[in-house]
Parts: sequence; structure tokens; C-alpha cells
Amino acid sequence: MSELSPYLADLPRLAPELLLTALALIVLVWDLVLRGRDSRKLGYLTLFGLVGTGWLLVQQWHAPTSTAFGMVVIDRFGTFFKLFTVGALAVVTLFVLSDRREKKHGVGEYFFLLIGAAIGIFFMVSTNNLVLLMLGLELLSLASYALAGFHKGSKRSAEAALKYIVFGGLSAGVMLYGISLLYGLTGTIDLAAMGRNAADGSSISLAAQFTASPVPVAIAVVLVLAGFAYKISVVPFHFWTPDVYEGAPTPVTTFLAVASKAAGFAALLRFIGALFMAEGVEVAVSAYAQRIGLLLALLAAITMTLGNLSALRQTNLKRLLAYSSIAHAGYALMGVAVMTSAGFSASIFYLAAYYLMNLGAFGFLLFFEGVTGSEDVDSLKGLGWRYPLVSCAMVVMLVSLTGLPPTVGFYGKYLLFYESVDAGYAWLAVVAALNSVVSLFYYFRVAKALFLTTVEDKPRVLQPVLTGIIAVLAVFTIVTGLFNRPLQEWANAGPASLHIPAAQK
Amino acid sequence: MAETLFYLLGALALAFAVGVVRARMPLFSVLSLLGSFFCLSGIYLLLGFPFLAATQLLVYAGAIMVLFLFVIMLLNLGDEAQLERHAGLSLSGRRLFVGGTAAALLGIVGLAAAQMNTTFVAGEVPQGRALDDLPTLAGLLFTRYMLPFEAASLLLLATMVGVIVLAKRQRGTSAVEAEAEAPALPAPPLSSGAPR
Amino acid sequence: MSPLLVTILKVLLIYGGVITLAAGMTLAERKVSAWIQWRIGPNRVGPFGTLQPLADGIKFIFKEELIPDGANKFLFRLAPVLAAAPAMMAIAVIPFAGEITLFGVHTTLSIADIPISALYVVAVSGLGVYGVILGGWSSNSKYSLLGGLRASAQMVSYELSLILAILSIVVLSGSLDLRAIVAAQAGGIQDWNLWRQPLAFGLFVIATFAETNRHPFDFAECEPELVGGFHTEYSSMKFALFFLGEYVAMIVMASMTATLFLGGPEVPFWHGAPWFVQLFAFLAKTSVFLFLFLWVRWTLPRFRFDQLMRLGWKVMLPLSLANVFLTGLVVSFF
Repeated sequence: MSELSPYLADLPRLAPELLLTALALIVLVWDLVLRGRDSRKLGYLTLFGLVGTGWLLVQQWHAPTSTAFGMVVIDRFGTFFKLFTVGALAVVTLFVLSDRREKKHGVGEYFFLLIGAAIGIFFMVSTNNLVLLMLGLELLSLASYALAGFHKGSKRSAEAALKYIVFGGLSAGVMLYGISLLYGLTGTIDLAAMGRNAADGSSISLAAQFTASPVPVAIAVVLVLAGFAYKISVVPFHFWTPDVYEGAPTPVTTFLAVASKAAGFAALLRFIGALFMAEGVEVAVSAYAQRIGLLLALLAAITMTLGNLSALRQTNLKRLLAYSSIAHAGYALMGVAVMTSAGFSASIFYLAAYYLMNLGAFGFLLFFEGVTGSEDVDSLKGLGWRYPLVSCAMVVMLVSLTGLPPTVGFYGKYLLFYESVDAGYAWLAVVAALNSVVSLFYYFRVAKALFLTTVEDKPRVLQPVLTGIIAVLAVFTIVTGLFNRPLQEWANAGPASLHIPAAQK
Repeated sequence: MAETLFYLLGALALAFAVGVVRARMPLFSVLSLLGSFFCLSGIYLLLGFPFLAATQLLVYAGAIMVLFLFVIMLLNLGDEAQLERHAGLSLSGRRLFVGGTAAALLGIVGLAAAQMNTTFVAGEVPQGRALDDLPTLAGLLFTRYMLPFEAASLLLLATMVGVIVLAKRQRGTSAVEAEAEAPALPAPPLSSGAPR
Repeated sequence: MSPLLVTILKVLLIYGGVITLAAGMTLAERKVSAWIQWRIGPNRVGPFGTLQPLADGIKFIFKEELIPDGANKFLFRLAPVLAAAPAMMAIAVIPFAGEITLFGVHTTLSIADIPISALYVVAVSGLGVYGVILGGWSSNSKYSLLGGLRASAQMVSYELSLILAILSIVVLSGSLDLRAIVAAQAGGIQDWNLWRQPLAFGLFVIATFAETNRHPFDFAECEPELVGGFHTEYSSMKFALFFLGEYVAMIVMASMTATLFLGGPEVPFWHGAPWFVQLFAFLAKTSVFLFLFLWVRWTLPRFRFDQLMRLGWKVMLPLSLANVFLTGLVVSFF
């Protein structure tokens, strides 16, 4: 027992994770007791628990950085993403509760799996330990597979789950292989320790191994990056995205597009930050980081171009948003590629913007699925006049997704472009700017369908909760675009807590 | 002696792994995988870790592969040619893809091996005590690695729930009765599907 | 004499003994069934029919070998080997008796003493199911296929309870070594794990019946429904190998029960008894469970397959989990 006590003393620092775990178990058992009847209660309980978790996270934001169990780093970077995850999850829970098509299905396990996925995200975004990182990633993935196939009657849902599992399994295998190589090379599974030689010789720094022979290190890092690339659907690993996003139930798609992708980014940022850019990392590795940065820049350019060009041809709104999310992964990757502290902040800021606008866009999609039962862009014709509030909100989201002022999307892109040019990636900024012009075409096709045609009158379907959420998100999109200072400060706290030195230009 | 055995087992494991992809019948794929697991288990033994070797046999060979066989026999998956007609997959295309990927990966590994000037270290092993000393192993699992250990249990729980969600029949009007009637593991193939 | 030669000698002795015991079991099976059904049983070959197994063996060798049309020849030949080998391998770590001196070499009466022997037995004996599954699949016959299918589902379901029952013993003794588990039960009858873990004992015994495909869980063969189940198409020595595998597996499981719950080779109230007394005690304890196998087979009706699954998943698994949990609590707090 005495050996255990230092670890037990760390438990209070994991309070948000523990609360979420308890919530998940209570939901699971309560669903069992209810026997699938009236599972809306579970949704309300989930919301309640999420509010509690959010409160605990806000406490942690103000607490100093600490480490629990020697592997969970509680810092502002992780807490920032955890807070957004909790927010996204709350919105998704509301989506599930107000999804008109969801009532046919027993939704008790829905909430359990969503919370489980969130716990996975919590571990992913806040650990330096590769084993825990992998476990968090798998927890997120496995819960997502089941969620993607939740509509069992639907063939597309089953196809989505299958594709997701096959691609996910493959990329997890690739990533694990990379991690095992990293472990073999350095003798440690702690990212921070990989940057330094241990005094007692129990571990060798990556830099030492890199100077001894660069190829094994390169292979290991690239394989791990491949695993992240899958999670954030960057180009050679993006194939699953459109099919899975289209087949999965819309609330699940929202979760995958928003929370899961951002979590992948957060883990990637921490991985690259701790391995290549943190203070005390040796010079050999920092030089190597520039090459990794070039690779990421190329991937970013290809990803955004391919995502935008494919989105042009889509008639299905859900697929369109899926391709758009691929493109946005490309934008967000720009900030990682420049490999500076400011670039990281820009990436984090853009991800926050991405949360806001995509939650709104998918909420809009859900709203109109409830109205028309269809996901086609064509079926939106003229609905803008009948549902003005929601449609105006959607136009705000589209403006933000395109990256036009005065929205948060504009400011995020501005930061990314500025940092890329600053770090010598002017060509990347040009590619991104051209891409934004391309994206204007398909985003405004949606707006055009909403407002530029009229159709005959049908009775209105009122969905007050959804309307409220979308409107609030739209307001946030504009307000944070105009008054972006606090959000930017929060984003700047990220690289600082990853110990990335600020002035490195 | 130990080194020879290691290379022998390694080569065998690789050959079996190739067999998994190459086999024309799913059943032989499973058997090859089983062979590969046996070789792995042998390698663990050579490394002085009999606990892991036995667990590998117990979990993978004793349970997971048996379930694979169960499914293959239940669906009566025969020849690959039959499968192809069923799924509309092209054999040569897939062979090319699989072969290409495998060759590329082998190439990468070969490149790494040729350039290798690396010393491998294993720092996490507690000094002075064999890893196979079970109390040490258990102690590590429940103190230093308690968090990953518990995270893994949560992962398994989520997986179980997910699998049950996917496998359970559609909840109809009388889902509760249908569940009570159904046997726990294999749903009888003759019963008439979900009640409308 | 070098230790290697002594080990080889032990291998020969132990396997010779076990195979003789398995042959004896076939006779015992028929004698006990006859006794229970008020018949006489085999009494023609040798005194009281004791040479009957020998006659059976000769008959098996001289029977014609048939391989059905359309069978997968490679797997059809491989299956009997896979059925018999795992049980034989499991014998290697069973502690038949304590210390013994053979030709000046001081050793123990078991082929190998490894620190994880309890785990090894379960890991290896679980592989026996492959023989049944592959035999059933490769025969190209519907009865065989159904037999193999049932065997795989059954094996996976009951292995869980079996392992968890062993686990509660392991938690109690603090070791995976069968020798240490035996040593923990040294002393009198009151020190046997049987009294400390009655629930685990019951679960373990039930699970051994399922693991060895014995009545009332013999769904892999199940004559009234499946003719002969997985071995319908087998004849001659291949059939004999399946038989041998089944009886050796019974011996393994019975001796495991004796080792885990009745103190194995430890003689009650006589710690450090000479090896032959220990061997005798071990065999006596084992034969109680061997007799139980026969007794149950000829007196109880067979389950239905869905009942088997329900028992395995809904009764035995929760009970064994609860048992491990309680054992853990008791061990850590008392």
C-alpha cells in the first residue's frame, strides 16, 4: 500500500478525467436499469456531468503546471483542448437529444461511447507518455468506430463503420510500429526524455541517435506522423473521411469532425513540440525539425488543395462538409509546419475557430435533415426565407469557413498566413490563399441554394434547441472574430506550456 | 544457440505472416497467423519472458484465433475466388497493392538496417531484477503504470459496449423480450430476424 | 548419470505412465458404464478384461484408413495430431511427486518445473480445441462441421471461467508455480484450497468438463444429433489419436484439480513423505476426479447448446469474476 500512496496522491489532479469516467459508468448502468426506455434522461445527466467537468477544468486552468503519475501533464495547452472538447461534446449531446431521426434508436450507449471517446481525447492531449497516448487514441478510435455504425438499419452507416475500422486499424498499427522504433532507439517512452541524454545512461537522446544514423530516426518519426495524419485526415490518409462522415449519424460526424480531429492536432502539436522544439532539445534535432516542417508544409498544401477541389464537385452537403474539413486540416497544419512558437499559437487559434464554425455548420446540417430528411444541397432551395434565423447563422458560418472578415475564421487564417510568410513559407501562404478563393465557390453554392430561389410553402418544422445553438455559435463566431484578444492569449499559453521558446525567428 | 534460434523463429514468423496474406482460403490465413504467434511466443521465451510467451498463447492462440475460426466456419467462407465474386474485389489488383505495400515497407526496413549505426537501449527495465519476476511486473503495473493499465481497462469496456451496440439486433417494439430469449453468444441462424 | 539423461528418463517414464493410464481409462469407462447400467462390461480379453485396451489398440492399427472425398487432406491428417499434442504437452509441468533421487541426480518428479506452470497448463491445453475444429472443418461433412463449430464456441466460453477459477487460487497462493501452490497446501486436509475456495472448486470442475468435451457438455460429438460430431469421418489410428487426446486431456484436468484444490502430491499430515507415497497420494486424488468424469457421463442427461452458453456466460462467468474480486479483497485486507 505504501508504494501506492504517492500515486494515489496524484489522483485529485485527474479530477476531470475521473469525473468523466464516473459519468460514463453511471450512464451505462442507468441505461441498463432503464432498459432503453426514456434515454433522454441520460442525455440531461451527461450535460450535467459535462458542466461539472468544465468547472473542474477551469479550476485547473488557473492552477500551476503539474504532472500526475509521471505521465499526465496538466498544463494550459491540454486544458485548452479539454475545455473545447467538453464544449463540443455538450453541443453534440444537445444535437443527439434534438435529432429528430434519432428517436428510433436506443440512444443510451450513444452517450456512454461519446463520453468514453472524450476520456480518450483527455489522455491524448495531455500526455508525454507514448503508451498512454496510444491508449487514449485507441479509446477515442474504438468508441468512434461503434458510433459511426450506430444506425444499424442503414447500409451507409455500416459501411462507414467498416471503412473506419479498417483504415483505423492499419494506421494504428503503423503508428505503434513507429513508437516501438522510437522506444528502441531512445530507451524511453516519455517524449520529454527523448530530447535529452539521461545521466545514468538508461536512455539515449534522439539527437544522439540521429547523429549516429539518421535513417532509423526518420523512419520512426514518419511512421508516428502517419498515425497522426490519419487522425486529422491529412492527404495520403484521408480516404476514409468522406465516406465515414457521410455514413455516420450526423451528431457523430460532428464529433468526429470537430473534437476528434482537434484532439489529433493537439497530440501532434505536443509530439512535435516535445520532441523537436522544447527547451533543452539538442541542436542536431532542431535542424532535423526543419526538414520535418518542410514535409508537413508539403502535406498541408496538398491536403488543402485536394480537399477544396473535391468539395467543388459535391452535391451532398455532408460530403461537402467532409471535404471542407479535410481542407481545414490542411490550413491548420500550416501553423505546425512552420515550427515556431508563434506558428503553434496560430494553429491552436485556428483550431478553436474550427470548433466554432464546424459545430455551427454541422448543426445546420442536422437542422435541415430534420426538416427535409435529405442531405442534398439542392433540397435546401428556398429554405432560407422560411427559416431566416438559422439560415443567416449558417451564412455567418460559411463566411467564417471561407475566411472572410469580420469572423473568427478570417483572423485565424490571417495569423496562419502571417506566420507562414514570417517563417519563410511564402509559397504555402499563396497556395492557401488560392485555396480560400476556391472554397468560396462551394460554400456560396450553399448560401445561393438557401436564399436565391423560392419554393412552395410547406408547414414549418420548429426545432428551437438547435436554432438556439446555431444562433449562439454564429454570434460567437463574429464576436471572437472582432474581439480576438482573449482567445489569442489562451492560444499563446499553449506553446508556452509546451516549453517552446518564444523568439526563434 | 539462442541467436540461431532467434533468427530461425524470426524467419518462420515472417514466412507465416506472408502466408496469412498469400493463402487462398481464409482458414489457412488464420492457421498461418497462429503459426506466426507461436514463433513470436518462442521469441519471447528466448528473451527470458515466459510469462509473456504463455499469455500470448493463451490470449491469441487459445481465444482470439478460435473465435476467428468460429466466424469463418459459421459463414462457411470457402475459396478466395468465391469471396471475390461475392465482394467484387479484384484479385490481381489487390495482390499488387498488398505486394507493393509489403515491398515498400521491407525496403524501408532494409534501408534502415543498411544505414544502421544505432545502439538500442531498454531503459524502462528495472535494474537488477528479472522482468519475469511476477511480483515486480505486477508492482510496476499497479504503481508506475497504473494509469495506462486502468486506461486499457476503460478501452476494453468501451470496446465491449461498442461491439454489443453493433452486434445487437435493432431495437424493435418487443426488444426487451427478444433480448431475454436470445442465447448469449451465437444467435441461432434459424430464428426469424428482428421482430417488426 | 548426467542430468540430461535423467530428464530423458523422466520423460519416458511419465509419458509411458500417462499413456498407460489413458489406455486404462478406456477400459474403466466401459467397466464403470457397465456397472452403472447393471451390465458386466468387457471380460473376455485377459483376466476381467484387463487386456481389452491392448486388443483395441491392435484393432485400431489394422483398420482401414479412410479419407472422405472432398476433404482437405492436409488438415485432415494434421487435426488428430493437434488434438493429441497439446494435452501431452500440458503433462510436462504436472507435479506428480516431490523430490526424488534418480541414479544419483537429485530432481523432482515432473518433466519441467517452470515458474509459470499453472498458466502454461491452461495456455497449452486450450490449444487442443484446434484439433477438434480443424478435424470438423476438413472432413467436408455437415455433422463434423457443426461439431467443430460448437467446440470452438464452447471452448472460448468456458476457458474464461477456468482461468478465473485458477486465478483465484493464484491470488491466494501468490504464485503461478504449481509447486508453490502445492507447498501452500502442505499440512493437513484442512489446508487444502478446496475449503478456502469452494466456489472456485465447483466452477473449475464444471469448466474442466466443458474443456475436455466430456458429457454433459460433449457437444462436439453428441451422438444423437451429430452422428459422431467432429470425428464422424475418422477411422483407424487417426480416430485413436483423437481418443488418446481426449483421455490425456481428462488426466491433465483431473490432476490439475487435484493439484490446485487437494494439495497435489502432498500427503495429508505427513509433510516430506517419500516420493512413492506422494505419487500414490497424487494418483489417488487424481483418480477421484477421473472417476467423476465417468460417473457424470453415465448418469446425467446432456445439456442443450443454448443452455450450455447461458450457463457459461450468465452464471459461471459472473460467479467466477465475483469470486476473484472477493478473493482479492480478502487477500489484501486480512
